Amino acid sequence: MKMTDKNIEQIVEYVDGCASAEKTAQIEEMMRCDEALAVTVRRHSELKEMLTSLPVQSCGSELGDKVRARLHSRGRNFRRMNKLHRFAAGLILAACLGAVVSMVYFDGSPEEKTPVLAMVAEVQPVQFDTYRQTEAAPVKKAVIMAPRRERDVAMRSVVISVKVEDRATAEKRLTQALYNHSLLGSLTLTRNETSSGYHFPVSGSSLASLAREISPILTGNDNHITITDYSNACNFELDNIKGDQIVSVFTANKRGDTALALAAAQVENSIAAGLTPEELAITQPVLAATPCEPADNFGTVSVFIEISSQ
Amino acid sequence: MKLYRSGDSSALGVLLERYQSRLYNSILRICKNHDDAMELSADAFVKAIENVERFEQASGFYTWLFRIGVNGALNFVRRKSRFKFFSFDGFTDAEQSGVYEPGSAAPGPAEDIERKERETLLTEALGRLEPNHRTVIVLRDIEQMSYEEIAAVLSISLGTVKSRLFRAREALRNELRDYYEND
Repeated sequence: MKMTDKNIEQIVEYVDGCASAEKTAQIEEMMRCDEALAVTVRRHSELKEMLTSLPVQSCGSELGDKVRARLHSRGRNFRRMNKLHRFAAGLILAACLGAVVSMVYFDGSPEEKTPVLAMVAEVQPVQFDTYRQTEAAPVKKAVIMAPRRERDVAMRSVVISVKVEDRATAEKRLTQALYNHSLLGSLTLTRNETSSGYHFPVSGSSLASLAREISPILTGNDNHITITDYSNACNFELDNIKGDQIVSVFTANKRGDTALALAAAQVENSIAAGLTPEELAITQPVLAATPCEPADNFGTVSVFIEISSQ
Repeated sequence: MKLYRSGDSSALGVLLERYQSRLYNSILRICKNHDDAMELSADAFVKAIENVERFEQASGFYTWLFRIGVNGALNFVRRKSRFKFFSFDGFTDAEQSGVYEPGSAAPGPAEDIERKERETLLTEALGRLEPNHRTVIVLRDIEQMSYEEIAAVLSISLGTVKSRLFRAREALRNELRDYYEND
């Protein structure tokens, strides 16, 4: 008989006792006609019977003990490895975050200049929603996503207008701060009945500590700050700035994040004022009346503080 | 398995008791060495338990465990077959392992001696088969697996299981030609 796949399957099923009655009858009929097939089937059946009767080798408790021991030691290793994996995963995650932040901050396209706060304004409404929903302070995070180089404000001059209840005390405190920073020698003081103007140059790196000292006088809500950008001759103006916000802005200046701090202060104040996202508009930088060229004294900022009575 | 997955570590004992001998016996027939079979069986258990999350209930733990164990044994045998090991004292792996119980000097009735000789011949012949043939015979005729289970363990189709089984039996019959001729 010619062995086809179908015949082979039938023979196997017959030998294994898995063939249907119909197939069994067919095979037995074929075996009657084909002696070679009959021998094959008989030998296979004998083999099967012999194999089935082979003694089962017992492994006793040795295997169970081995498995338990291995699971136990692997459990220890697994826990150890798990700690290592978590540490490694943390490192990788940190590296990835670092890479992303670097890419965002240093995107390698300094030639594409975008107005600083215009860019901030683009992302702001989204961040405002987030801020309102989470009660957290994602505003700064959001602004951080703007490319750093384009966000920098090369501070040329700062004008702070402060309205105080007790003008004399505020002037004393400011004078003390200027004295502490050895700035009285370069101070130009102008006074009239309603206000006093303190004009002095200061190095950018001293701005933050100076601001910290004068922040107690910035208690009112209607203070105003104007920062003139060194590089693109733009003015950034912010109303209702508070003492701590000015400290933030000047501290940020050391990191090159002045615009960020300004924007953050703007958003904070807008939210505090209960503005809706639609009403929230970041003060756009305005072109200074007279475009200024970068001066030689890049690190020096011209500061004008005007103190007036409320 | 459900108990073990739910954190009941005592279920491990039940799993071991239920499957260890069957798995060990099958792997022993495939790799022909007690120590190797013990290691491979333990490996299979550990892998099956450690990857318990990946175990699909539908396939059945038994099939899953055998799939890991048998494939591990087959890989081991294939790797080992590339290198030949010779023992200085002239014993083969199988003889050292105690798999064979050659008409072992143990006194007894003539039928018993004859049965043991037959088992020895059969075991030796089985050991000479190609690993794929040996495995399918072990799973079907010794472990008594269904065709479906064998197909699942070896990741082959039902038709392939049957045709491989037929060819494996033919090969085994060929190995035992002398025995049949003398019979």
